[in-house]
Amino acid sequence: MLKMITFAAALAIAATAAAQEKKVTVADFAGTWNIEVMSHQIAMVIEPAEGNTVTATMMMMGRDTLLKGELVDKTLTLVGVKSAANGTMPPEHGTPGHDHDVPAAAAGGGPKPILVTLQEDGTIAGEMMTTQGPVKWTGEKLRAKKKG
Amino acid sequence: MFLSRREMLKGLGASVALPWLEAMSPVRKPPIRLICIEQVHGAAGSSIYGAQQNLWAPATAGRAFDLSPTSLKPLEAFRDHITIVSNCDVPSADPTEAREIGGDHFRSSAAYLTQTYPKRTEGADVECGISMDQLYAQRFGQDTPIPSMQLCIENVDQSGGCGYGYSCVYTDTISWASPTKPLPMIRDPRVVFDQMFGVIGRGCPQERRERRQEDLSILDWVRESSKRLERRLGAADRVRLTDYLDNVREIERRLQAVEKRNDSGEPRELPMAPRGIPDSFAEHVRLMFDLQMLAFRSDVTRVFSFKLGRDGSNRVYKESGSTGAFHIVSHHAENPARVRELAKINAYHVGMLPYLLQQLKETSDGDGSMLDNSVIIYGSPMGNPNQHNHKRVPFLVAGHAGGAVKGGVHLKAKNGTPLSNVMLSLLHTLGHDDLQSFGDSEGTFSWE
Repeated sequence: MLKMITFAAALAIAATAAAQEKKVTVADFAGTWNIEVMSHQIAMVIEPAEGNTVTATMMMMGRDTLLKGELVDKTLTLVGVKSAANGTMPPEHGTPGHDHDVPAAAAGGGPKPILVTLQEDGTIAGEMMTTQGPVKWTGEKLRAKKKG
Repeated sequence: MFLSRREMLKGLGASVALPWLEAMSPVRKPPIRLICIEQVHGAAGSSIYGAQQNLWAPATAGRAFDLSPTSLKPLEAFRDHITIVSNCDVPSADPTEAREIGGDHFRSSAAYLTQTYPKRTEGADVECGISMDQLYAQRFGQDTPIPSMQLCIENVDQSGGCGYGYSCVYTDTISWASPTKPLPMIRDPRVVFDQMFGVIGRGCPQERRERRQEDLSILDWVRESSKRLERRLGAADRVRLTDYLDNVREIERRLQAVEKRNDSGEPRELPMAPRGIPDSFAEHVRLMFDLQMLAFRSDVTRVFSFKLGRDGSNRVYKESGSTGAFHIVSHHAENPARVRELAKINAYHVGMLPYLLQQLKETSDGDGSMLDNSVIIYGSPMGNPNQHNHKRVPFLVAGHAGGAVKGGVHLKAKNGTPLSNVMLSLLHTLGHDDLQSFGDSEGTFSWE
């Protein structure tokens, strides 16, 4: 009898732990991320918006691309915001001034969204379209540090 | 007869410093010479795969380290004189905000010897920190005609902004005399030679051109002075002086040969490079090392910084066994075969060092060799070049610093140790005992 109670208690604890498994929210994605894609570093700044939505800015070689997205089932899906008026431009071609192929995210009006998931170690990972097809990427949160 | 250490051979338009001679007794404790070398853009051994395969740091810490799988293999003959410090980071080169992400090439070199975050600016308001070579030169380099010299192998004559809002100055030099005073680096061995022997600024440009065109030697200009000195010296000193002047002449001949070759009209591998610069990386580096040796022997200066390239360079180092362009190879995408190809280039670069170390070892200095009384630091502010990170950066010290650094050991730092801790402790051994911190240091580092 005691064994059964112990077993039941253990099951209950495990179930509670599973239930208490950290719920992924947009807040988990918030911040500045250093994304490595095809051996290049891109900044991605993600800010929570209403409900499960976010706004984001992808920065690469001085170019900013505005994105918006929604979190569904632990996956944040980002798409480009067409806004030529505000100066942002979709990165549909390689970045000039560099000496090898660079990612050209399909965010700005491209057909493929950027998919972002939170990893157990606190990093993010995802997939985006480039001039060489879809590629996987990883991102690490920028740590605040003292300057100078 | 007593000769001053500052005695020189003088002629019209040139002056040649002398090597140490017995006539300059009493012998005093030899000074510690410092050379700080930057191997640009990290190492294959700083990637996860490279670290697992010990492509830079040996597997074992302590004295029984095995260099055979590492890019440091060329240093086997000098293992007793080297101290490998692994697993350190250079956080001062990391981005601090979104706009800086990706701009690592443009911060990295500035952070190397300063261990300080470079201010993001393309203007004249550049700001970083004082570099360790300059700290040393400002305190211990004032007894020599030139407190320090800054040398490099690739072009450093860019201007304005180089990328991500950073001034090109940050990539063009590793030496900073103050947080706002970056020092230009010299690429042309002829300019180094002329600075060392006081040719620049003496005699008009026409005279200098004529002298070179006629294949005349700087020694021809100081011949009378040399003869007068020889008459005052003992037999042993005369041999020393002759050897030294032969060495000067030999280097000068090589400089002239390079210039002649580059003036011949034959196609060059480096068509944009000045005529004094050899197309061969190895020849260029060796010439620069020979000039550093000459400077040490004549006590013209005791401090050098030396930048071996540029992060973004696509130079091909065929002698390394890799036929790929450097920057392309460095972005190895964590592919094991490509990581190993980068390791070949790293080994080739490290393989330049024995040429210098052997000469230092063969040069008597006090009771030991010049290598015993020198500190040569060799490393990079970049870790894994594929990720542009600054973790597990390559770093080693050659020389015994007059006995303060025992050598023959691999020291593995605790995770997250900033390289600035190591540099602070190194500065302590160099005589800066009163220095409380350096760059972003958090403490000191034990050499045991």
